[in-house]
Amino acid sequence: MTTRTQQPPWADAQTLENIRLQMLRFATAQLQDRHTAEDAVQEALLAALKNSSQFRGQSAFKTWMFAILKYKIIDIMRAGKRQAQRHITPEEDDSDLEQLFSEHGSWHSGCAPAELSRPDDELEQKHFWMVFETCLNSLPGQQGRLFMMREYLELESSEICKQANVTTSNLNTTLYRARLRLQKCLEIKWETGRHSGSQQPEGASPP
Amino acid sequence: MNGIHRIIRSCQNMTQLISEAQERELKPLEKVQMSLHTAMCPGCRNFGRNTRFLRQTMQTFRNSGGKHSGKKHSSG
Repeated sequence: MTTRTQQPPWADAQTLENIRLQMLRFATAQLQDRHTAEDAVQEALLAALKNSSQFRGQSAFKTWMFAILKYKIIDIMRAGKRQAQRHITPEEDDSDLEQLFSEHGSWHSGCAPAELSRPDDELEQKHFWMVFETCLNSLPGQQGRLFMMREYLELESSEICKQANVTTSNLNTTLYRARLRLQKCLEIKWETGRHSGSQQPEGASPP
Repeated sequence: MNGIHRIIRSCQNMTQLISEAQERELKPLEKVQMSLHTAMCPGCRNFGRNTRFLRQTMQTFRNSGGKHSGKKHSSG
């Protein structure tokens, strides 16, 4: 067996910069304030680098940095440190989702969801996560932000409503649209690509 | 809309309810409506399965940055 010396992920400036940009994008979307986001990312990076020696793989390192960032973001939200809430994001264009249903609210033919399948082997898993990240990144602004607050930061509905200044009914509708959109995206990019074997996801990013 | 539709709701309405079940406990009537509807409607049944799959996938995503399969999840 040969032992290869692997360069730690944080030693490569380009890798670190890529992860930092992904973190910044995520933090800015969540906090809705670029400066606060920069601070959060900076703190998370420093904290992560302190313990960086235990991470050999790039993926583990990235996960660790995002885990730290996640708690920084929640702390900042709860402390209400952000600048005044930005204007409420205008309604996103969901006409493509409306088109899935008839005027009576039934699925249009061919629009009903198919059951999504799990990846089988390691190679498929790798492909699956790339597609999954691409689909997450393609959610429109407010949908992506609220979905990540709920499913990534794991905040309860009541807290999200307070933080994002939306009503429960707005939140539920937004989460619903995000879930429907994600399913449709996975159906196209994962299920179709899986069977044809030719689908290449575009650049993946956050967490 | 006829009577049965009012009871079992439309697919658009039902999928929204299925999504809401991720945020709150459904009321007894809503649970019955959901069971009846999904028993008859494969599209909404799949939407429900996919919605639970998304939650499990996000759980793995949070914990591992996407290194593990969605296979080992506890059922949700």
